[in-house]
Amino acid sequence: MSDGLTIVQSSSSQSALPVVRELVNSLKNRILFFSFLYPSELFTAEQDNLTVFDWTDRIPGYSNEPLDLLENIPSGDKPTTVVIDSLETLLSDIGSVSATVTLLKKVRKRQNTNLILHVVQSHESKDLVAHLSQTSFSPSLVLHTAYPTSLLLHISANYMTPPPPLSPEPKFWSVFLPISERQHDIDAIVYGGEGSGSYVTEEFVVETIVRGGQNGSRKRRTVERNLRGWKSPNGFCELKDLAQLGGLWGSNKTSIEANTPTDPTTNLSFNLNLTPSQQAARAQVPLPYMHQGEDSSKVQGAIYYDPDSADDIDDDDPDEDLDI
Amino acid sequence: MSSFKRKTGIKAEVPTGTRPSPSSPSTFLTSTGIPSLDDILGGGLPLSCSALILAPDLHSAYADLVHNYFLAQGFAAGHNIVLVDEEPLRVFDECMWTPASFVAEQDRKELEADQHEEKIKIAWRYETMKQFQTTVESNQSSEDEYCRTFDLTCRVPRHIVDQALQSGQLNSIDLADGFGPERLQVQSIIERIAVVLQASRRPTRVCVSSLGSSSWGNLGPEDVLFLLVTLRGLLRKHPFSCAMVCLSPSVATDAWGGLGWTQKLGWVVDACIMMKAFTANPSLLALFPTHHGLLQVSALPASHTVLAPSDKLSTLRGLLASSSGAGGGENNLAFKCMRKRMIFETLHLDLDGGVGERRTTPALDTWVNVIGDANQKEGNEGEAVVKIHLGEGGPGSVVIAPRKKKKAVGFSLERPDILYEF
Repeated sequence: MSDGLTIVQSSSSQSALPVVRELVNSLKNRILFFSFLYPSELFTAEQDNLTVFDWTDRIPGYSNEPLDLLENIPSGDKPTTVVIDSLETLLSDIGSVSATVTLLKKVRKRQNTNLILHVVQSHESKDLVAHLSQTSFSPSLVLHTAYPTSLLLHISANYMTPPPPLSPEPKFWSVFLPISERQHDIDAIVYGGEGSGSYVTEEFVVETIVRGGQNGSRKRRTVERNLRGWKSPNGFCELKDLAQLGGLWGSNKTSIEANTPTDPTTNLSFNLNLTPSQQAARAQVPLPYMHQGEDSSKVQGAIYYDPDSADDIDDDDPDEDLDI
Repeated sequence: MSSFKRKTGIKAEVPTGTRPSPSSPSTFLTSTGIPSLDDILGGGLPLSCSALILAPDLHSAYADLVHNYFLAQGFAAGHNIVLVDEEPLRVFDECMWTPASFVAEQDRKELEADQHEEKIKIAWRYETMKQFQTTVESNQSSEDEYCRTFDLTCRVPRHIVDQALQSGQLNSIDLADGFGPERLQVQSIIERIAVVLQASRRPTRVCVSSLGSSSWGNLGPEDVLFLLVTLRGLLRKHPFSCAMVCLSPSVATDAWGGLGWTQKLGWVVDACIMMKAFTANPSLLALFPTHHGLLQVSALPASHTVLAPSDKLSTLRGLLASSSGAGGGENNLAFKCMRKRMIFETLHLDLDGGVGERRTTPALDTWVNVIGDANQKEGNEGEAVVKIHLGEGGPGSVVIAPRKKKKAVGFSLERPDILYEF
């Protein structure tokens, strides 16, 4: 999809591994798969353009083999994609954020090398992802973040803001962005009292930020955000194709049409209606103080006088000694 | 008339590329390269002051842009430059420059022609009013010594950079690759800056382009504060120097530095601005379509004065202009980056009216009479019936009448007990 850097973020409430699997399987060029945490069979079958480095047992302090990423990436003319399946494990192996970023920067600088990184959001990896998302690390970026579908259902129920085609985009993003940054709130929605837990990995929602940018125009860099669904065997799909969100599309139409304010007289145990003769009689009753507003405006008799520049204003009343 | 005359002191020599501040003649101001930013700071950045630019948005690099303007202005004014960065030569090459002069002339002529045309169309009573402006322009020529007009489409010619490197005008401090203790690295950088400052005769600009990026190692908040405080002390010792520090985007947020981090940063430097860009936020982009971000000013330089001169001198912030009104406040500021330049300007909400209109008290100019009609009943009993009819004549019509504010004439009699005799 991009020719540079792709970061896929999972969270404690939703895993984005299927996205990584799809990205890896769709690549045609040479793939170097560095497996730090997950077995590589989870992602892809054996292919001839795939080289797997199984480093799940290379733990600093317990094994003597170094984590030499750079040496294992042959520099050449063939377009290569380096896939790192667990960035937070690499971070904890190396120990410092800046060293990890420097290492990845060197990988990125190799010619014809794309990077696909998968990271699970956590307190430690937040800093690392922030460094990697900056424009100084890579001008172009594709950032996928996975969210559970229950988040969209929660927003639509509690904030009355269903996902984009149903509500205006600026309004939806202004509600979605702050809550998406609060991971503990999303965890509470999924694992809390009313949550469904995270057993569903076939369908989830993916927010994608695409920052295109050639080195030519460094000012007008457009950043696009969009929200799509993910359905397990097929891949990316529209939000309305997700079965879990079907309720939003079905019920919302009725709620838009039922815009009339609820009539409080519908379910009462006593009768508030009037018969036509009663209504006619009621219309003929003269209201007692109907003319009060009009009278005051007629009787008021205030004089609105704008003094001219030639007028001298004398506050004394010349008639004050009139004795009538 | 007082017979005391201000003793004009011996005129101190004004360093190149600087000018004395209008509000305190002993302070010299130097331009940041952007005229509107100079206006916000009160005329320019004073010498021996440090400025901090924060741009917390990850998807844009506006702090780098402001930093490049500062560098380019330093080149143009002939100041010495000390740049602390991991790839200083690349940064030097990316600076902007003034356009070729004939292009600038054409632009200016077109602008004047437009303005002349507009003058004819405006009614005579408005001629004395200034045109509505949202920003401050520098209307000097492009060869002005204080602040040059830079064009973002032009880059610095290579020969100027080479010449400057050879003559010693440009000094760069590379960040070492070793990840030793960060505090020691910061200290060694400060020492190297001090060496350069000591040796230079011309005004010097210290530029730190991306503090907190990965090449600095794992800096903690204390290390950043330590650098800024010692830098400020160093600048005070060398009165012909100034500094601009730009923080890396990930470091500029409260999430990194803890609660109140941005406030702390404002206290350890003389001038601090935060540029909150809208790049990745569709809702803010839709709300403010003409701007690229908001500007928040956390600290303003006040060297040799108690209050910042920007309070009085800045037209963009608008404090002086509104002080005669009811409870003045500052203007909201925003920035936008156009194809050829970057400007900071005032941000106004929509003037269209309706819910977007910003009014705290109803306007005194119009009043609406409410008429109730006995024959027609709309709504339930007790509900206010408001009908506004346009047009003359008839009962229950024409209601909107402009009422001018009554002229308030107040005079106090000096001898109140005099009676007027008729």
